[in-house]
Amino acid sequence: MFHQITILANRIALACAVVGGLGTVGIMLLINADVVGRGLLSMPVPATAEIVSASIVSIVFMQLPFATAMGRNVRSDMLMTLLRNRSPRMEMALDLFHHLVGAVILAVLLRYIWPQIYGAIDGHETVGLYGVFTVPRWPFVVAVLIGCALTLLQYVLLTASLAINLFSTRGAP
Amino acid sequence: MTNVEIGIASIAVILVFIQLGMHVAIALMSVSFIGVYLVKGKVVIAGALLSQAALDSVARYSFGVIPLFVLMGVLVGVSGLGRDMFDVAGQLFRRFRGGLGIATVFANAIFAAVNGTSIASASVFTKVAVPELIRQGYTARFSVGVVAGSSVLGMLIPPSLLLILYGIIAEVSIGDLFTAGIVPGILLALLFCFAIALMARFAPGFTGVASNIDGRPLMSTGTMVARAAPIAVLIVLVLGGIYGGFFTPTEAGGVGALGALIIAQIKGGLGLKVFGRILLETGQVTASITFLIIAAHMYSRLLALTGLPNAMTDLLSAWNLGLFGILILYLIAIVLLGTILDSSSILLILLPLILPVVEPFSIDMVWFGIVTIVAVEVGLLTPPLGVACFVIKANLDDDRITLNDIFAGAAPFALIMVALIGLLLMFPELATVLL
Repeated sequence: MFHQITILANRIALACAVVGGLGTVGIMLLINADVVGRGLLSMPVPATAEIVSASIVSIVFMQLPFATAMGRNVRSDMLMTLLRNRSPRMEMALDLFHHLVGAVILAVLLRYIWPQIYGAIDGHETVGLYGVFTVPRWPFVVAVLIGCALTLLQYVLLTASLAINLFSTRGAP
Repeated sequence: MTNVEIGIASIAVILVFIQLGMHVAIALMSVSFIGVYLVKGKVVIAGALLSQAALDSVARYSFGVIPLFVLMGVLVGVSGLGRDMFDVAGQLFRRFRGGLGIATVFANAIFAAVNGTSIASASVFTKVAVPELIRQGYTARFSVGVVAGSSVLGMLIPPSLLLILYGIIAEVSIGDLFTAGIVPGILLALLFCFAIALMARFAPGFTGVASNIDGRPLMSTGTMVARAAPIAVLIVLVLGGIYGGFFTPTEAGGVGALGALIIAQIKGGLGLKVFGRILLETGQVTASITFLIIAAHMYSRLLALTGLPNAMTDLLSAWNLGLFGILILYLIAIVLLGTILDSSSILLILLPLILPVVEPFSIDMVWFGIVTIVAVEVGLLTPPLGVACFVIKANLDDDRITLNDIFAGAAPFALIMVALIGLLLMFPELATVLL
């Protein structure tokens, strides 16, 4: 059961990472269109800077759950590597602590991001240059919300899996 | 606890957490949250700080460069431009003593101009250069040392992710920083080449003696030009575009990424599957770096709230160290932190502390950035946490070369970088001459 949840969560994380990757391609094309349009046709793409700025947060949060699942968050693994050879259980316990802190702080983040996101949707906020070109802000902030929630889920699942491993091998050397 | 004490305690706790192996971003975020709660006494304020930093701190045009430069670097790595450059340089320098070592530095310097991270340089050249260096008779230590040492050029020669990071935190023009990195970058490459030639002559025990030089048939001039052309086009496109005024350094990331994509497509024809993997790799690097930046923003707000930077300014001015004394202390702190922290964490933790301290001296912040980056880069090569050396170890197929060998081989190059810092302090013009 736990196994299936993990697989499902990883699939969703992968899907989100793909969306984020396509977002990266999107801003790449947008910037190039703007540069070419401005330089050759003196016709810049309106609000490029504003849209790129708003997208970048969403792109990062869309890619964060998968990076977390793949263990790519930056850390110093010197002590963990040392422990692995001497006392794998100590290493696992320490890793459990790290992921538990991660889960807690992401839960806190989600709790306090929520009102801001609700505000952006409820207030019909927009992104862009007012009067020239605007798009609604809600898709950007919803992406942040989803990414934040899925990253929390990843931390919870990693914590749980470490805990299961740690306590199921109790007594083993 | 007074607020300043909370600030000092927060640094200590973060260093301990990072050493214990906690994710750096998580350590920064949780300490910031608790720290702000201790200072302000309200959970709501601490929470608001977290959410605002998460939503707003990276919502800037200049952050768009991070995924784009990462994408460009991954594409350049995949399309084999690094190997082409290495082959061409190997032939150009084949008559010199230590020729292939010099060629590695040269190829890395060129590669650095289309690539913004030392990590990418280190992983590409470990696979390309190390086996060939060892085959020609150089020692394993020297071979990995050359790759580790020259990989730092990736962060100094523009484009560079660390310079972008510095520019964002210190609010300095990224374009100016890129320009300022050119001369020190080339100078460092020359110093490396010079040192390799000297070592090959006077310390052959360390470098080994190249004997099987003519292992491969020589390329014709036409082939060499054809091999070097794609990377040259990309350099002209990115740097020419920035300095020709066609686009900003931020936009250069977008143009460069598209250029690299087109070159990779022409060279090999990326399938949809490979392209997907490139996007995922880009995403993972982007997410981990940017998450770190978001967390560091939270932390710098905590530091500002505690008043620790002001207290430090007062303390340091009471000591009457003068600018030079402060700089020396700062650089020693960076190099020491560099032994236990990764480059971006050092910048993110130290810059909010040092910027208010050096501000009254009205020094050139662009020059200060270059000095900072070189000092931070020394940390990539020093044990116990030398990230460049770890990357090389991870990419090596040869188990006989230990991490200690890599650190030993990189040591002369780390010393040369310290010498470069000295030169930059004595002759600030090195960084500012092109501005």
